[in-house]
Amino acid sequence: MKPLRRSFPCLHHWPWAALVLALVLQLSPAARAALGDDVSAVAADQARLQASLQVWRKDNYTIHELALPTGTKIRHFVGDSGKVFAVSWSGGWRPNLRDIMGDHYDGFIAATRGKRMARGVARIELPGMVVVMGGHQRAFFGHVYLTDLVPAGFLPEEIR
Amino acid sequence: MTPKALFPVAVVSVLCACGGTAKQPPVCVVVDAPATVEPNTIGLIVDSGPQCVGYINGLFASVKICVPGTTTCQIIDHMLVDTGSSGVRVLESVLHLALPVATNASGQGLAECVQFVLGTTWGPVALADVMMGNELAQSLSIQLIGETAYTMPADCTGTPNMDVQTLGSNGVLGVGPRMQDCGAPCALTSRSNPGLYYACSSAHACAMAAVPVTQQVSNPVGAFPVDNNGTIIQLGAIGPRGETSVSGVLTFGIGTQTNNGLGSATVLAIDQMDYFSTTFPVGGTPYTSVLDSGSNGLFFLNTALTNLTMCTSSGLSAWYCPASTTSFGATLSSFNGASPSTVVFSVGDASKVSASAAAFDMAGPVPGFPNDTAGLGFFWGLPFFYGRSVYTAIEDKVTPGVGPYFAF
Repeated sequence: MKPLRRSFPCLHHWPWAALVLALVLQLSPAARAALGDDVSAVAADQARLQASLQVWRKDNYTIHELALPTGTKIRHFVGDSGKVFAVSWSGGWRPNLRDIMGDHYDGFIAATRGKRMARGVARIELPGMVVVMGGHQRAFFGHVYLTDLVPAGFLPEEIR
Repeated sequence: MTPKALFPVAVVSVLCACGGTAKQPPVCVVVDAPATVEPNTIGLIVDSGPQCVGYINGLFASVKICVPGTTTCQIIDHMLVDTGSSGVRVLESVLHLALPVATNASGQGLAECVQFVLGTTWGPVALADVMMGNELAQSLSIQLIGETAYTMPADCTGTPNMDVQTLGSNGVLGVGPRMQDCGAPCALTSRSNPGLYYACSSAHACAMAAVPVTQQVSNPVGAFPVDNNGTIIQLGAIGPRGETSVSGVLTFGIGTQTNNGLGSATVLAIDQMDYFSTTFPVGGTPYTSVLDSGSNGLFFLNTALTNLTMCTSSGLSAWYCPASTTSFGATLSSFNGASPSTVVFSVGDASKVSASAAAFDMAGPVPGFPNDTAGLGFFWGLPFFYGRSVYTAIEDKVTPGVGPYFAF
């Protein structure tokens, strides 16, 4: 590591910089069971995040709850199509929003970049997606859902 | 009378961004925080914020930041005074000091990704002498907000609030009840570490890392040699039409000097998430509650439980707009229900805030209440602080009454 570190000031000019970057990115793997993804990815998330999993069946959807080692709980709401239509979280720490929103994360950031974000609580509507968040340092909750994927008759109030 | 002055507040409705989220209020009142005489105090001001960002219910103070051990210093005005977080954070873009970056045992620079509900601040952990009044926190770990030293990594997520316009202040003065912003979890080397801190082997290679509690961004008050067990935020009252500015005093220490006694204040003991209890209406249902000077309104319950109507203007979708100012009673108590005390609070019509107002009894519902908020029903933001003295007792310190707590 030592020679490597000494070279870092000009790292970005070197071809092997990409290797180091790749290594770093590998430590924070991309999203798995995110919004709009298939339910099969929840199990992969469970292993990746070393979480415990509980599943509840509701009328026309299923809740897959991952309890992370950090104490944060992430619940995936899965419709009968097998797709995750909502994700909620609660705990001391806000989870990685890229993991939560998946393919929808970049659109969320693009729509909110340059805006002053809420302190306390907030509700943001984007085309096809609703985001609700609240809390303060060491205590966060929130959820996000895709309006086109929620099952018939599902009320956002059912998200918990 | 126009809703334009309201946009910089709690909710950004992206669909309705055309409603004025990018406009400046037509009138801007920026006031220097008043000078104070007593050495364990500094002045506070509620005004429109730095560079006329148009803040409503933003509480600000000036903080002197120095290169450790030197007299090379800069006074940063309009630091948001925040009981909802701990630690000093300053925008790189307003700080013109060369502060040393904190390093780990391998010599790698430390950085942090901090979550403020939706907004995220990224940047290095630096060491600074932080001075307020005559109180000095020496070589304190603070956060510099920005990407000058280190590029924000992909796993630091959330909307960047890293300039004056999006942060709404020149920095954050976190004087909450905790000693550090993270504490023991961020020192763990296991997956239980929530991953706020990073070690950077180069400008573009920062990876989540365990950081000892002593190196974490810390509450400056807790680091003072004296008057270090808490704070008192004392603000003037506001009228039903709001105020263009409100001044006040931030006092350091509780029961340590002749000017900071706890007196007969109601003590609200808090749990590990800094929650206490609010019963609404008086004699009614208890709800989990938060007290946070950094939240710019009172957020409570929903329209069904308050009978308050929502605003109809697109830029005000987060707020209540009662036909006339409406008063309520509620009982605040410790998280276990002890030491109840009843307060009266008002909710004004958010559509009637004058263009020049910087302080107003703004209130709105808690989005997601009740199912998604685990019963969290009251966010007592800055309006609670008007006309009161609010105490914040820091954890692990000797205080009158057992901390951590809030008191008023």
